[in-house]
Amino acid sequence: MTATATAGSLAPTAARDGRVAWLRETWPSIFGLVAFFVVWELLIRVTNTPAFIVPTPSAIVGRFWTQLPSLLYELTYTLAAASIGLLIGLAIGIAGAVAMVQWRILERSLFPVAVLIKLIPFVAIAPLLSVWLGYQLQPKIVLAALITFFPVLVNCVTGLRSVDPLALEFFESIGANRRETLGLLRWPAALPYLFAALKVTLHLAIVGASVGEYFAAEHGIGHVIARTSELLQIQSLFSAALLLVLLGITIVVVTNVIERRVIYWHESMLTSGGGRA
Amino acid sequence: MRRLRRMLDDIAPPLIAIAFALVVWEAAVRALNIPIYLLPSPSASAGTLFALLSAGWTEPNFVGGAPTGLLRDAYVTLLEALIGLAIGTAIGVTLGVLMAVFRFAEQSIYPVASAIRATPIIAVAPIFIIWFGVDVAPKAAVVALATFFPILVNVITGMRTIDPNSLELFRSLNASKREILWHLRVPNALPHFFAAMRLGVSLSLIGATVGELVGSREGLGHMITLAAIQLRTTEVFSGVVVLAAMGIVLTEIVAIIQTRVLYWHESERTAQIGPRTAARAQRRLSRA
Repeated sequence: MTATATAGSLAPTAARDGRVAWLRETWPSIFGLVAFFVVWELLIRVTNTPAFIVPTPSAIVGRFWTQLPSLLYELTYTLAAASIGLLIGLAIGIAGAVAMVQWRILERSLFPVAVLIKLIPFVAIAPLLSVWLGYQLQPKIVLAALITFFPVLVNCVTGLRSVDPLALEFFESIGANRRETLGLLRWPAALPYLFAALKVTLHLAIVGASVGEYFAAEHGIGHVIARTSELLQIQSLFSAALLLVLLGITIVVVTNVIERRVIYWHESMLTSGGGRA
Repeated sequence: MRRLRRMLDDIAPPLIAIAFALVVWEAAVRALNIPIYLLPSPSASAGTLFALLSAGWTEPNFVGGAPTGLLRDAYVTLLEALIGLAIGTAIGVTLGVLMAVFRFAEQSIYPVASAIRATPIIAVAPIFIIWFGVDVAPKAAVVALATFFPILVNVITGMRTIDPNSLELFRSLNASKREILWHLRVPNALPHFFAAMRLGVSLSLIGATVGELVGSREGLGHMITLAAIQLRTTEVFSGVVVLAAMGIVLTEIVAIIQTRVLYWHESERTAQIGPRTAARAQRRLSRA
């Protein structure tokens, strides 16, 4: 309700100018993107660079279009591994953070360890995981979960702790129990931190799943990238990369939209004026 | 004396937790008789780590494929990460300042930059290896690609989100655009910049490792891959431990530089009390 009310009060100015304003806002972006690809295409054509070194954008798009069905099929494997791993990491991370905030001894003993473990580049153990868990989805899921878990845990604990002391005191004074304090005070405070962690880990979970596939797999975009790069099929390599770029952009956009919906009340959203985060 | 005790208070619980985990791990491996190539005990891994570290620095000979020392591998990975991070930082800061100052630059470059950012490093690593070879250059390029964007975004945010009152003060004192840039926007951007650097440090190690997994003849990623394929699991663990140590040390270095540079910033001034002490004071207050 409040969301629509806030949006409503801001909307008229935007709606009045309508399409003209939209064009004025976005034309530099479109110009930038178009210029980028035109310069790329021209450079390749003018310097006569062979397609096995750098293909032209038009050639990549052409290849991308013909390969799209098979690429999408491979993508389902990558997406499945990444999203299952992400969900596992997210669930355990949030549960762990809540436990740490409830029991101080857990936080004091494990939180510093988690902060350190967070710094390990887990992709390095991708080869070991495929030795342990085989060629199927499992090693990719575990890798994505490991990559997600620690940033989510650390950020969630920080967020749950970041409540205003006065608000906490107020909750105590009206006799709120632990669950109420957690659900109504700490959890909303943790959400912005959680989204900050998600923005990094969503990206890294896909990277983790693809790296796992790069190593040992029968399917998946990472597998396609490995095969095409070994065979020096640069156009196919670029078109697989293009798919990952599109996926990455989609993820960023979707996260931003969800974030704006969920924490519309947070000051970072209010001051950004609904622009990009 | 009291400071020492407080430090001990903070350090003891995590140390106990780590020790406990190691003991359980060691006991489980021994009790269940898990083969060393599947899951080595911490003591076996530590033994290998020390052996590899004391083997130290052997120059690689790529022909015979004799194992190079762990220190050499660590050095190569560190070099790749740092060169890439330097390039990424330079690009990120330059573009960030440009985009913060000129609105048109921001609007036109930002979509391209975010498209490049959205490219997972695993997709570009093989391309860079085909272009630049198997040594340091392609990994540095991967790292630069992975790190420039967070720095860019934070520099823009930092230069944009200035206190309106300060800006008004500067204007009322008839400050030029350049003075506002140097004395207001840049100092304001520094905390954001350091936050991005901390993320950049860990991204740089990830980038270097992924680059090495894809194609290399030295470096920790290379050493870990070979060891994993040949089931020398203790060596995998040693490599991961060194990689983790590098991450921790680099992050710590960024934090130290940050406290030196930002001694005037409020986040540093409150940090001197320490969050725990602050929480303790808060509790004492609330009890009173």
